[in-house]
Amino acid sequence: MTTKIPVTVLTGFLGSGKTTLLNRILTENHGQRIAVIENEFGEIGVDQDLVINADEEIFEMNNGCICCTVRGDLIRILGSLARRKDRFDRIVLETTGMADPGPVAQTFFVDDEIRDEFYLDGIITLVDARHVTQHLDGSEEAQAQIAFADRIVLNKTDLVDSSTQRSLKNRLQELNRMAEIIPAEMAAVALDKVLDVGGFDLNRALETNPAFLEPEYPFEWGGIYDLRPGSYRLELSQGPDPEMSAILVPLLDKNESGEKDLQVIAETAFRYFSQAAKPLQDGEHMSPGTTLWELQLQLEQQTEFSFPVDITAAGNYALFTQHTPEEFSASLKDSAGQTVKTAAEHFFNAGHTHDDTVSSIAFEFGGSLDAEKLNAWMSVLLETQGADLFRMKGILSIADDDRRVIFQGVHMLLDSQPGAPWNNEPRNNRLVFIGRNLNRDYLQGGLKRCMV
Amino acid sequence: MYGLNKELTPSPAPAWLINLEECPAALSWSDCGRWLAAGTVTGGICVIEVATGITLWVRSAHEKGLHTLCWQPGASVLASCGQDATVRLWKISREPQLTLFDEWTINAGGNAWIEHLQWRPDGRQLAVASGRSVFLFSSEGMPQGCCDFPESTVSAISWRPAGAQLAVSGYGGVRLFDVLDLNSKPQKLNWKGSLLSLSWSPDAQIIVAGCQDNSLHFWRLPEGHDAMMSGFLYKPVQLCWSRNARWLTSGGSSKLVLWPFDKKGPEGRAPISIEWHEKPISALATAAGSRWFASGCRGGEVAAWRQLSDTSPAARMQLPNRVECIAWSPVKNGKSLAAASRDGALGIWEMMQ
Repeated sequence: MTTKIPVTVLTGFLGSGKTTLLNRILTENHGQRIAVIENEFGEIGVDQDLVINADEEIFEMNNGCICCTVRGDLIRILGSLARRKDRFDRIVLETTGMADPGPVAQTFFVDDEIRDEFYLDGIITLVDARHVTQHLDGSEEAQAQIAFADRIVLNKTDLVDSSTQRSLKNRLQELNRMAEIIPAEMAAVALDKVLDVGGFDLNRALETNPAFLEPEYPFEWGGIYDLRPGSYRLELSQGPDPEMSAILVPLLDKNESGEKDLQVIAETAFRYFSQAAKPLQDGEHMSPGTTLWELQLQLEQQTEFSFPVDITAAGNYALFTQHTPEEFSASLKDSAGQTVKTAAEHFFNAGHTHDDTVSSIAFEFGGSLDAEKLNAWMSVLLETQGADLFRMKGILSIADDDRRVIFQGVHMLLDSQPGAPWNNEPRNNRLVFIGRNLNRDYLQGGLKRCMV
Repeated sequence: MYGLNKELTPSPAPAWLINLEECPAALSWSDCGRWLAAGTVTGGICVIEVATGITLWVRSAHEKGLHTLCWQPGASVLASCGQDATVRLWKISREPQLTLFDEWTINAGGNAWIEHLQWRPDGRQLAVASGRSVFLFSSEGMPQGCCDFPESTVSAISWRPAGAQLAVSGYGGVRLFDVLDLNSKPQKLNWKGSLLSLSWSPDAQIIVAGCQDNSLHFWRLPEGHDAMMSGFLYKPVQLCWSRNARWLTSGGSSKLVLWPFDKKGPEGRAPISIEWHEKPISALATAAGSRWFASGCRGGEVAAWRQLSDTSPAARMQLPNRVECIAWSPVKNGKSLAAASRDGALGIWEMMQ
């Protein structure tokens, strides 16, 4: 059996820096011979001998099955390249930002001759930090590009401020919890971050996924303030939502003032956020304590809002807000109108807070799953929602199976294999689903019913 | 289903074994049977004198890679095409020895790969597929019109046996063009799916296509009634008819599956399945001047059958790896067989009666 050639898919909207990254990959001294397959309308030239132009041709099958949809142009081109495999070590495939990554990925699994000669190493999505919000808001294609990625290169970070970069990262991670986000300027990323990523390699499944286990919080931001007795005001402007929930928790321990402490306090705040929020109108007092307030931020002809905060006991207070302060230009002012600085702040991985139709949902739970029930449930899931499920990955504990079961999937194509034995380690299950119109309760309920 | 003891099958030594050094893209015999042209995927062409096994000339023809080549029927023009978006015509003098007489290049327009070319059976026209069009040229390379396939890149072309009708396939079906009247509307044979290869039955009554979704689709002409055969493990791209149009076989598995195309047709009938190759079939060829037939597989095994409906081959040959191309000498009653494998090994065998 000859070795298979890795294929790296570079995707992203026009102007995201794909060609710059491609040229970096080609010119960096890695000793590899790389063949490039470009979309027909390349942005600028590529310094390479073997460049082939592809014309996106989607092949749907008569049976209407989405998992049979492949890219005809790629089958032709890769089929031809397969016969001269000794000429190169790697293929980089550049697609346009409008191209659906599904058929591209499926081509490597559905077509047996392509599968025998090549493997999909990873999907690298480039985004332009300045324009990605606009792209994501306006297009499901852009969301799909993020959703399919193994790595997201957040390019041109030098052109946005740090808070924009942070909220972007949050949003991207919400869309795709599986992908590592790599900030970059001028598409300068270490090549080992984008090559040999093993994105579809079950042996390396879940190797790198930083946000995978980070829990979701009902708030995006928390900050600790050191406050003396007196009158303060929480000032906000109109933002993306008509209201925002927030809580101001007095901290008992004077020493709780670091970012780490904030993350511990967040677990408590999580509980407070699960109660019903009390609406608070502009000008009404926001008392410190365990009450969850819902700040009303929509009035006709009014864009600025102010909520008085009376502090009676000196100490540390933690403010948690549903959205980041930047989104509402929120700040805590003292009686002199000066902004009070935080002693520490932390941005939390919020749940699904944007109106993106695409999202990613991760689960982690102990116990074991019943193989038969799981198979039955998964086949129904894939049959009914396969078209909306972009990617799936997971490590499962199956009852009566001494080894971990690792799986990954694209749409309706599912691939699994046994992993390391459990031995005496506590058994648990970790899964991530990325897709369109995902319903957390449905997925969670379904998985629960598959438990032994 | 027939299981066979391979040891009993004769295994003739090749008349010639030639190293092309690159993966072959196509093999083509000259009409007279004296020369064999081999094109490689990296763009080289060599012409071999079959009687001596000597390579008469070698050319680097298509810098970026060659897709196919073909001798003009009844004449001495060799046409080749490739990834450099050109077609090259090589006019070769026969006497006293083979020399390159003339060569010229046709730019079919654009820079799309030219993946297919085929001479009209009477040798008077050359059809060349580039992107979503098929261009027609005279044997001197003069443009003679164009057939469009707007839905996708053309995946295959096939001339009607003894006729001036060209079948063009792609995503969504087949179109039949009357090349004597290119202004007339082509007959459309629709099928929502990706068609990868085409073949007319020798009596021109059936046109069959191998499809991406591991099925065969065929139409009965002239009405265009269609039916399909599915259940293959792989794409049944390779297609082959028996000379009497009685049987069709294809790639798509390691078995030779024979579909009956007698009056009743294959609908609702079980095909004959001959289990002989151990690896999936990768090349098929019927001889033009006799009833012989050959099959090759991904494991390098080549089997020669006296006729397509035989249940055991007359000879077996072994190449080092995947059989890419097989071609029979076109000479009447000719039994010379050429086959080449992915590593560039080219064998020429003489079949005994």
